[in-house]
Amino acid sequence: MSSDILLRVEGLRKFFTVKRGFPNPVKLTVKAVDDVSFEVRRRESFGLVGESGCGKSTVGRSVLRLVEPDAGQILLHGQDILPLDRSHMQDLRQKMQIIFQDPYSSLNPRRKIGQTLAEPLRVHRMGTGGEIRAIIDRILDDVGLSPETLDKFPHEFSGGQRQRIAIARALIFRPELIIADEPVSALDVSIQSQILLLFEKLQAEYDLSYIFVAHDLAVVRYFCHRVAIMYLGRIVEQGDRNRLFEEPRHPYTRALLAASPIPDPRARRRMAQLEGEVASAINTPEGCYFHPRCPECREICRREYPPWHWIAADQGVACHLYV
Amino acid sequence: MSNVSTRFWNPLFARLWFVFNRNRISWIGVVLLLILVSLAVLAPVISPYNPVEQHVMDQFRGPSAKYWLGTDEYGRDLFTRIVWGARISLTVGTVSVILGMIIGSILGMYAGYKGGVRDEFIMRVMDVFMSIPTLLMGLFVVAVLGPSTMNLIIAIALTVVPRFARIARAPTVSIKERDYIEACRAMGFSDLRIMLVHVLPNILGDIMVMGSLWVATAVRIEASLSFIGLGVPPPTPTWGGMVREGFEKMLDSPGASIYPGIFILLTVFAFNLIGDGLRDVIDPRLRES
Repeated sequence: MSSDILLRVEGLRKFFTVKRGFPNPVKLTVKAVDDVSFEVRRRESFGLVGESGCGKSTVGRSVLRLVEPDAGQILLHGQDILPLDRSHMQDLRQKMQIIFQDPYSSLNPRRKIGQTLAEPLRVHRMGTGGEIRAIIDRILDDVGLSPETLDKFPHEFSGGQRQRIAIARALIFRPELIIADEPVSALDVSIQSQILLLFEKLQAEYDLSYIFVAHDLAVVRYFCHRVAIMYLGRIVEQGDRNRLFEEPRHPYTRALLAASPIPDPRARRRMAQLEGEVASAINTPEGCYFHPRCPECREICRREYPPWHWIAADQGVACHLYV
Repeated sequence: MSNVSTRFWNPLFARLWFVFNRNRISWIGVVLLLILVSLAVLAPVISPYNPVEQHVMDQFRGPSAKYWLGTDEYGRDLFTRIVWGARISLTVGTVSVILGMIIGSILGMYAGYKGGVRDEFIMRVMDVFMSIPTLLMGLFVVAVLGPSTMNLIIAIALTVVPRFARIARAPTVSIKERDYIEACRAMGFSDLRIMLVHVLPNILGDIMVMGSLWVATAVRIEASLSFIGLGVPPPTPTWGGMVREGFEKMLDSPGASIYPGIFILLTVFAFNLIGDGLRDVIDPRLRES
């Protein structure tokens, strides 16, 4: 069981402080990520889903220490990476990489693709010029790009091709884990499926695990093995994809599923019954963060944040309805 | 044709060529500057006299075949002195700006990239520097270090540094938020590498524009510091110094200060035209057209 686990995140927390107001600024705390725990298994795609601003990207970036978490543990192969110094972290960077949402801002416009792909290998001294060239050629082929790509600049490519280049860059160290931060949401629908298929192919070839940050439920349902739903910096429900989509437990998950369109014009389904605005992560409500919008809100929901509860081995929820 | 342009596609130079051809007036600046630079470089060859050689019998002469632009109160040939003065003025102007540009850009890029307390500290110090008028700064430096060409350069560089710190900081702050910088950090690149390889080339355009415009100002500052006697000590010819010397006998012989003044004007004009052309090169509204 435990040897099957690649990454384990335990009690992750990241608060940002912002100053608001003039001339007497008030320090406010944004609870971007609060007490988030999950694990990612080998060769698994783990989906992180939620509305924008719910902290899902911050979780992904914390795992790579692109933002430093305030508390919690991030265990890769059972080793906590947060206390590691720069040189140890340097080795770990070869095991985890990231792909961004916007392929137009993830490549340096002034550098040729060849330079962009060779630089990480040079910095990490991973071979001579010839060896580096061989690694790059191999990866280009794997992501479906021609060798001529190397002599061109990013502006000469379409969004889909740029995303392939970004994937190639993420693969260059042959990592075990890739954090894909909304990797297809900026692409045309027809390109989305191509890129998703590429992700699947690469998962098999490179033994990859993905943390797949997304808001598109259809994509997540297709692509991820297990899914966590986030609301205002906390995971409200997580579990196996099939269970989560067939039997959503948390009212928020249900509302999300109800709100996503179904590709059947005759299907009649109640549209989202969610009311009210997403509460802000600065001023989180008392009790359950979701209670002001929850159709099944009870007395206790206004007072206490619900504890985490595993309903089954592969489905857990933070909701008073199931305690 | 498109093949060739792709192969030699160097973003800055391709656009430089393109915009300079569209905005032909900036070519006037380039030609003017080339003429001035060749005058300075060829000074020993083309000047008919020695710049400090005095002809006591020929004071305050008007232009003639013997003295092309006339002579000053010591009978020194004005054309010779202007040509030699070009060396000092252009050197002081460019060297001081390059010096200030390097130091200022490093400080601004570092402040913008690191942010936080270091950013605040550096930029507030820059504000203090910026608040000191150039002439006062010149006065201070010369008082402390004594008058010489090198100290003049230092004085001008000091006033230029904060401008470049600001110009470098602003785009750095926006570039460091781009995903490719984050990708660099994810791949474990050092901050120094990210700044030099990934940030600097993207802000160099703004810095160069600012640079060419500031050379014009630096030439002017050099002239005014020399004019009030804080520049290169006589008898070395500098444009500002010549204007000052001629100024005392302005009514008898206006040429002695007007001709060097015209050269200051031409130099400033040339650099401003070039700067305007460069600014069009990096103006995003003209991109992709």
